Amino acid sequence: MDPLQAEIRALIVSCLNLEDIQPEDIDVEAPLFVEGLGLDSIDALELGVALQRRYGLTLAAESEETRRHFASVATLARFVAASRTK
Amino acid sequence: MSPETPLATLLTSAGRAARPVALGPEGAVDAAELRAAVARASAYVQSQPGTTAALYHGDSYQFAVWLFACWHAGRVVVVPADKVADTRGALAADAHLALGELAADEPRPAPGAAVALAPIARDRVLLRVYTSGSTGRPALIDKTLAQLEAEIAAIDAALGPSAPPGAAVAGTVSHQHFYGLMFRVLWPLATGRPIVRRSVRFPEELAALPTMPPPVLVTSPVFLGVLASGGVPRAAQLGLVLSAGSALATDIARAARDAIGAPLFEIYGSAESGAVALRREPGAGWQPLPGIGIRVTPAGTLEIAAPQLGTRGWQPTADRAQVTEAGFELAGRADRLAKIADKRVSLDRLEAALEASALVGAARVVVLPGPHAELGAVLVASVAGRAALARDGAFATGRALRRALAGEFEAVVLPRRFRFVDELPRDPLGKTRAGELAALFAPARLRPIVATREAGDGQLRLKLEIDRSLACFRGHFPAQPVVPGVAQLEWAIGFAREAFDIRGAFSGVDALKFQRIIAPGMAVTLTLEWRGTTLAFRFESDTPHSSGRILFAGEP
Repeated sequence: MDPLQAEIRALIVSCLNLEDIQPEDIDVEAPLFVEGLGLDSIDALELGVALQRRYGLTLAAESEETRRHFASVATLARFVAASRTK
Repeated sequence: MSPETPLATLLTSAGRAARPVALGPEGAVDAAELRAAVARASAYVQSQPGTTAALYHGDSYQFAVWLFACWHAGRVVVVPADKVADTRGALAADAHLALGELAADEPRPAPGAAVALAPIARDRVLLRVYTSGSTGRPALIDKTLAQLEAEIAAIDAALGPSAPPGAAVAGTVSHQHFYGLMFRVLWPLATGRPIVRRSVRFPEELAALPTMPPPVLVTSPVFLGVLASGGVPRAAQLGLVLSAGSALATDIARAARDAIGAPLFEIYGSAESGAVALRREPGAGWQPLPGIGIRVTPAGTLEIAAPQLGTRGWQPTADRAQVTEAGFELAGRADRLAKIADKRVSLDRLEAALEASALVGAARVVVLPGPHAELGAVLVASVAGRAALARDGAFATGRALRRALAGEFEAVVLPRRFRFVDELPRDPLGKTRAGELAALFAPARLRPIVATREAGDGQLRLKLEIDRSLACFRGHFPAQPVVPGVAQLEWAIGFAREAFDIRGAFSGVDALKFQRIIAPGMAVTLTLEWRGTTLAFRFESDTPHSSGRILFAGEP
């Protein structure tokens, strides 16, 4: 498995305090929001801050593009790989 | 010292037409342009029915135009703190006209139409602002022109000497809150200081503020926390920084002030009372603004008397206080309101909203201890709730409840964690104690989450997520959580015993070095090497954190 995908899965579980969920329970291709893992907009906000801090990304708030990047762990990993500054 | 121009005649007197009143990327707006824009907008407002208008606008200048337009058109302005769906719904009952970003299409008054602006009567109610009442739902409180002018006079008497005339006033807090409305819009306009139209969102933007004379920044502890931890851009030059919204820790106040290199004043007050007192030095006593009287009741709560209250006599507050030689000290809130990310939220109202769900029988909301205040909800499920838990699990059920609250509350104040229990823990008097409820959220994880794992011959390399709910952070230390050295050794031994065939008992440590602390939110790499009797370990990220050799007895 792509190590960056693994890191992002662990970051999701850690920064959102998902107590009943292990990183390996998260399907990297499955939707993160609503159906799938079932995260909500507050989770998105918190995850966005954690990703910005960890990888030095810039995220446009509430843009359609940002929403696409946040679709799944796999799309997030591609976005982080392409735009990380640290 | 009284303000240079009172609000009543700010726009009706013709003086100083070329003075800049607002600054933004589109250039400066002068007093004559403001006057003309207000006259046009006022003509539009007059053409609309009703006595009350609701106003929300992200641009402080546009906000001011509509505000004065309504006042000169004889309307009362309701200022909501946000523009979420439930707020709009509630406003429809309280206001006849929706303006700014609350309007379906922003009204663009015809350029030709304008009305002559007449002075505003001092006893008229101009503003209606929301407050989070101690009894549950936010209440609307009225402010007359006389109240607003009295508060501006008190503010200017206190701040005027520290903020040179003509200094621009910028802010990170919204003018949709009364603090921002007074300090970012009304005080600057009434005293000839240009307003910076758009909120400062990131520290880097401070470098772009006008510097002649150095500007005033109206901000809150959240933003100052960022500045204190090294967020001040080198080119930033501020003349005065104001903080309000929630308590500012003394060490963060000092660090922020030193990083900014300008005086930092904290302001105490509320939407009900307006600005009441000022603290000019981190950790010093609070001093009432000129003209404001304070006293402490035998029960220990603060009372105030001031012209800006609009009533004679002493008014109670929800804060406990002690009078000292230097002024007074605050000693916490007396009712069940919490400040989450600088927003005041009524825990009673959150509980009522949760209990309104068909999934919930009883609800309690508590503030969880930790580096950032966050809320936890303890819930007793209803019959329907138990079915949902069995079908969807606790995580999905918690998220479903949170979505149901999102229309009524701002996202940042909603509970972050949910616990479902069979019954609420109660004391002998039948009360639920916050401490016992918070204990239900005790950290479950003893060891960090493993992000990646690479195993080689006698070697193991783990990437670990240091999350804030790890058990080792409890009490170590409340203000600055760090992973204790013994926890690092414990993790190294625990992971190593799972990976390698270690039979001996722990017998000692060699060459132990702790170089950099490990804090919540970090990702660190743990490298383990098993060499027969010793286990070499190393925690590192960009820099080494710690390393050493752990010895095991009874091995060949």
